[in-house]
Amino acid sequence: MSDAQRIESVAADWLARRDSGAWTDTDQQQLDAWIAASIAHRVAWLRLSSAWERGDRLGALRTPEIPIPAPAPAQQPQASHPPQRLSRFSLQRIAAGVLVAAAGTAWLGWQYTQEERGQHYATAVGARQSVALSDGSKLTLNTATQLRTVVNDSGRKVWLDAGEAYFDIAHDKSHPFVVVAGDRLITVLGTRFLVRRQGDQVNVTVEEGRVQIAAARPDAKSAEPTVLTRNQAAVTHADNVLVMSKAPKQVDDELRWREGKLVFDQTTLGDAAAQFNRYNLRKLVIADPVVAQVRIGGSFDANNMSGFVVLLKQGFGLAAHEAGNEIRISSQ
Amino acid sequence: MVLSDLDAWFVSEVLPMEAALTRFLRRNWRDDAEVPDLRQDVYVRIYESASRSMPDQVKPFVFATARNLLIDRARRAQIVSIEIIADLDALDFSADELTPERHAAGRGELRLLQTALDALPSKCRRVIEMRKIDGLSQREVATQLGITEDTVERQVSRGVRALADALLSGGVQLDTKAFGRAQNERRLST
Repeated sequence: MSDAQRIESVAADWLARRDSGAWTDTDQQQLDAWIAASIAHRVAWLRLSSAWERGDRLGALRTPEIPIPAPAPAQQPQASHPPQRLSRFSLQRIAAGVLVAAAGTAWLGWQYTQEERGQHYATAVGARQSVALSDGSKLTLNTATQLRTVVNDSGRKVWLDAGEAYFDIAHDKSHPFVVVAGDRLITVLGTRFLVRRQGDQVNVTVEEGRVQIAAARPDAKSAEPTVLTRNQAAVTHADNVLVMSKAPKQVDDELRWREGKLVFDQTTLGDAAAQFNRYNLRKLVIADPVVAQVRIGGSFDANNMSGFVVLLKQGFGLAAHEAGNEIRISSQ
Repeated sequence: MVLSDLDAWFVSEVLPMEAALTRFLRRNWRDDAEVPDLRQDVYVRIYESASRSMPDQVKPFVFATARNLLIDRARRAQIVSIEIIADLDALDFSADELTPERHAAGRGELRLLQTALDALPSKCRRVIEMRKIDGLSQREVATQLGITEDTVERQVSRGVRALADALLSGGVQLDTKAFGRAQNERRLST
């Protein structure tokens, strides 16, 4: 727990105790002393106590003169016995929820909207795209990515033809979700993971749940499928699968492209340049192997290559020469 | 505790900036898990500085404070980041996204509160509703729900934190998954 959260939870406990009614002068003196002990305590207390007082406005919900618009019109007169009653608004919501749940159970089996012919998606260099599938799954396509989807009653399948995509797959035991990436089949029931293609190589990183990787060709030599779980990653090439564990922070960093960020942590300049080049039409070229080994860190806007170059000049004393679509980085 | 003028100023002028401030910190700092700590430090700096002299204009003051804090932190951690070096210099304090959320009056405030309530886990929500809507004491709530008074107090403690987040940072979700993650991971140095 962070420092701020620890202080906040102490402040919340004080507030709950004061609210309990069993509150003495000694308690008040102790609270005053705690608040006076540091400004961090004081601001945490001000923040929570002011929110708690604003909560008193909820009392207005007891007077029916203030109509709160409900999300669904539910004509369900309910006998309510104060003080054991919910607000009208909550009751309406619950009633609406019950109706939806009843409708859901009456609906036998999954019905996916027909996507028989499939859909094709493509992103330009430096672009991102979110795609919602009819089964409730969500995909995020990274830069320069091509992907096809077919989701229907008989199954859920995606072909990642190029690039990289993040998959947030809706759980459905009876319809496994399959991603075809080159010579690999990646199968899941419901989970969150990342797949990237680089030539013949396929990289898979699992954020949540279980993912199975198998060869797409039945005659492939690598017979055994590989199963990855949370914070594991695999690199596959030809018949080889290399599995590694990652720190949660590494996985988070790797997923930051969904907000347009590249996060480097002890990354060599050579690797960082290769990352930038994926998102930009202009390319960084680092010919000097010594310069390519410089380690850098920080989080950067993937589309802000100019800013990155300025930083290399100012922060690292490197030189940059632009020629056409290339920016050559070298030592002075 | 009696609110001093400074406390009252902090509650009415600075806290309404919280949603915008949180967005700003998230956008300019690589690790969401550190945002609550950063925000607390910004508040502390603001309060300390205002106790010496009251700023003329609150908004630019809040964001200048946040920016300086990020730069100090980045220097200390030896992080070089474009956003901090470049974007913060060009920060436009008039940008829409930096507009403080004024406490909505009347119905707007009620809707905000109702949304905050709806987001609470059901047990916690019942307790807060009975305390705040039905005006029952903690003891009465415990009797009604057949739970101990200690449990009610614990739920109030949880509820007030969630309420503050919803009311002040409305719509800015902090990455709660990150909470409890190792905070001591060494940040990179170049």
